[in-house]
Amino acid sequence: MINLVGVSKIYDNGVHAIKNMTLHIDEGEFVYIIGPTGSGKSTFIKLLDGEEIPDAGTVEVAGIDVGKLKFKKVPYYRRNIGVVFQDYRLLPNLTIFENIAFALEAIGENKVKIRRRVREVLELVSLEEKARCFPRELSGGQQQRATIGRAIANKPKVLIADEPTGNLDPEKSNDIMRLLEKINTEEKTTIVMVTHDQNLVDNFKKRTIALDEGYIVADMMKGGYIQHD
Amino acid sequence: MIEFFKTLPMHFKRAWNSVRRNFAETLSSVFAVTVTSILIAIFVIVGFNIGGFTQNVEDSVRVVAQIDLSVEGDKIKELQKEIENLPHVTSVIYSDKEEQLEKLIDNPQGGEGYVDFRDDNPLSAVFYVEPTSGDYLNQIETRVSQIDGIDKVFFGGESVAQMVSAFNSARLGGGIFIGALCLLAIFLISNTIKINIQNRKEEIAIMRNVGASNLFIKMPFLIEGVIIGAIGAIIPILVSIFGYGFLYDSMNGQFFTILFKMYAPMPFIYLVSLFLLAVGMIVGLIGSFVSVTRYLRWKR
Repeated sequence: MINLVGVSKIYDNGVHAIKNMTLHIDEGEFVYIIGPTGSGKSTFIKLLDGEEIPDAGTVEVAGIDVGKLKFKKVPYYRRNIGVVFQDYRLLPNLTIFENIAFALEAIGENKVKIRRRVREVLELVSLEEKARCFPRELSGGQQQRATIGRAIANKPKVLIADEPTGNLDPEKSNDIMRLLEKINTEEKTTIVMVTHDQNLVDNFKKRTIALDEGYIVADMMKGGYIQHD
Repeated sequence: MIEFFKTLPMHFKRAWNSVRRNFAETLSSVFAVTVTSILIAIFVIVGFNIGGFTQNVEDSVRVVAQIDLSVEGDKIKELQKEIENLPHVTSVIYSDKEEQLEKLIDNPQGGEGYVDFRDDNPLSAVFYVEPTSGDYLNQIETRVSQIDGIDKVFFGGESVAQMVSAFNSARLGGGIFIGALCLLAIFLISNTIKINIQNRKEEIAIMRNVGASNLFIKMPFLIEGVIIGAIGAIIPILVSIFGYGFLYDSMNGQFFTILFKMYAPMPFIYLVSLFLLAVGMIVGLIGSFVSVTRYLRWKR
């Protein structure tokens, strides 16, 4: 599903964010990306969703060479990928229902299908009751569930979660994790989750890829957080 | 393309929601369009009416050709034919010297003084030559004066020509002013849309994240511009419909003199309204297009 071969990325300011990275993630996998600040996690995500182009090597997602995509094709490619952010980023002027529907409207889905899929998603993320609420009326955990709902609405092949539990207390974080696991099994979505949360990584054991200074320093199938010096 | 039309109603809904939910900004640009459109309305109405005045003045001006006293009988008919055959002449009307004298006598201011001349009329008979347009007055004057048997030729002359040219330059000036106002409105609308784009940076980022195409992101802003323009045209349209109707009625359809006849409100004012609506919408579209292309910097 995700294939990186010899990928390097150097920013204009000289920061060498990713160094000669080779990585393979299978369809349906659930993978943690861990590492300290500045280890290249954000750049890794930007390479996956097509925002950045690698300076060397190839990034291939769902059979598409992301680095070679034409500018105009990027939005269409991005429909293969759902992104969840730490700070939710829901549209404040739209209700939860509208927020989730928005992702489907953006790709020209018809109304009936949108309504059916949004209900499905609301049920999946347990927000049926909150469909008519605006984001400000929801708790942090509920907002994050709504964001996840929006990200998976158009059935992306890959879900990237950028510190989805960063703003949540441990109990809510566990809820989110269980939700992501549910999506991973029920929707067969490949999940790449960037996190700082050691407890999560230890409690919900998954394949864990550790980055440091742009290198992959560990890739453990058994999971668990690694301590860096 | 099919996708484009399929999503169109939704874009309208989103644009309308944005108009409502960003009410303050919308109001400010609607106000800008309103003020501009009212001024445009005034200039269009005044401009067209001046055009009408010019037409009237030109229409009512004719060349008067005095026939030489020696020309009589059939020769007059021949002369008339000759003048009628000149280019840009619509009609030639003969008026004999008795008629000319009666006209003098009929003048309420001292006309009776001429009664004595009835026995020995010193006046000449004349042709009234009507041109197809006021622009040909000078040309016809010259041509007619060259014809044998014509004594003197005159028309309103310089003063009329000057009035016509003053009217024309007033219309030209009005046109330029309207153009400048449109530019101002475009600038104001594009500024509002720019603010809206800044306000919705977050929204645009999310749209991009969920894979919305560039056109999809642009559409609501473009439609919003058109809606703002259309709403902004409402008050000017009402003002011109009722204002002009009132002016027309209270002036009895003429501007101080019968020469300056105003356009009848129907259908003139509806055409003006349509024009204002079109101007508002086009101005709105251009304004938002300017902002959308300039301020939606696309990253990948």
